[in-house]
Amino acid sequence: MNELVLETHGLRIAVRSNSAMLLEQLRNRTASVAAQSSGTPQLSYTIEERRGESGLSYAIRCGTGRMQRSTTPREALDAVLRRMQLHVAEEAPDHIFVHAGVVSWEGKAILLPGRTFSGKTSLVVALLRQGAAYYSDEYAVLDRCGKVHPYARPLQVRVAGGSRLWTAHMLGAEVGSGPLDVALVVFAKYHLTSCWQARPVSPGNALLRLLANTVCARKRPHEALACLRLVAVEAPAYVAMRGDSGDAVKPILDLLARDSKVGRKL
Amino acid sequence: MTVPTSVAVLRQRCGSVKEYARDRIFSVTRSILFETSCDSLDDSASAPAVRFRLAGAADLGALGEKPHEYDVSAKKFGFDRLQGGDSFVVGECDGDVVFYAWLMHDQIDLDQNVLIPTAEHIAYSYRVFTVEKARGRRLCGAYYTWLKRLLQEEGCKRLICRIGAGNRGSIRAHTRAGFEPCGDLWKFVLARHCTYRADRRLREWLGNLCPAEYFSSSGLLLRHNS
Repeated sequence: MNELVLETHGLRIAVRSNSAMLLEQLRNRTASVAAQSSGTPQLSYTIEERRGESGLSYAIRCGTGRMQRSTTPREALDAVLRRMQLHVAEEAPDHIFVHAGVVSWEGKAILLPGRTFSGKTSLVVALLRQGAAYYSDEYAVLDRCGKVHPYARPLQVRVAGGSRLWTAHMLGAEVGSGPLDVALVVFAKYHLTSCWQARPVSPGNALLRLLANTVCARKRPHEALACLRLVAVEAPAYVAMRGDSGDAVKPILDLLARDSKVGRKL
Repeated sequence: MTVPTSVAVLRQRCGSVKEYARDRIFSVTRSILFETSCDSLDDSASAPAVRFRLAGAADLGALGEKPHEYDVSAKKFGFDRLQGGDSFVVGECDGDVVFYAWLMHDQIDLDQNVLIPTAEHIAYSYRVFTVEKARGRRLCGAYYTWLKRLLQEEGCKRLICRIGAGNRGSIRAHTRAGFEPCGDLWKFVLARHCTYRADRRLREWLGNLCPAEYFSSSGLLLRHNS
């Protein structure tokens, strides 16, 4: 078995496979968020490639327990990556992961929290097309000071019949490099027939909404609250209904221009 | 002091001006989309001296401007594509890389970074290159034979590629490898604005393959990712 140990956000995860190529593809897919390491891993996954009568299949295990079976290498990689990301989001010791799209505009970070299928990625793509820098389409990675760090995995754009991976460069956008203060939080909800409508919410309300999207909220509530409080106090927050993501870009940037200098207190 | 007035330097500079004008001022270019089924294998097109394998970032980093025609910006683009999940294949002969090619899954590329999602189980082959000393050995055909076997195992049904209409060598090699033309794609550049238009045949073909929202009824590409 070949082994690849990846280190990200203070965690080391090993992936073992009898297919060297699968590990190579995994290394490529995670290059922007994880580094290769030689230390002892805290968690391991195994992807076993099997050749049967009906062709190739892939058995995936987490530790010693069986997890799932895939028929294509990409499906197997996607499954392992999904599990790995969730594990890191839950266990990363010095960071709080919030389900949110993040971009930076003129050095200010915009947080777009939302659950899976809430339209985070399409909003991020629309902002990147207008010249924003890419931070993340899935997790806002916050440190203890409330600053947001890049988590620039390839954007997972959903289209009819599945999802496709696009990197920020493919969209003509740059990837953000350092931690930034959060300047605006927009809880945008997509509805097909909606026009843009936004209303401000109090810092307390914003804090609760952020907590609802925080991955480690149940495991480490104190740490999560301390970190999210900083964001809720400093950044103006809005709840919005939106239609097409392209139409939401200008109002979001207008909110940023109007409110980014206004600080708030709980 | 060397005065850069040699013919080579002049040619290079004229080439740059021509390229600038083509990309940013005005140009009309035509390319052809080709398709083949992954089930149609041509075993006669084998080149046992060359070993094909899926490659990674280290292989990409080792390619040079000569003889692979891979410069720094192309490598940067390549690393980006690897992160995006594309596959990179090299063909080696006596330890040297004499062939390379890229493969994209479930989307096609109508221009650099103009991606259109397709239905699943479709692979798109791009940037296929044979080094000068290995040309004429039918490596392209051997590569596609190898690739189709690999794609069959992955459950992939169709293989697509796009070739510039003027690239006769590549069109010949792909036709020999079993590819059939699906229609023409026109690219219009005017003052840095690009427009893409598919002819009727390609439009019908893309209609069965790509989400309808990407094309107007007149064949104009309405939305892309750049």
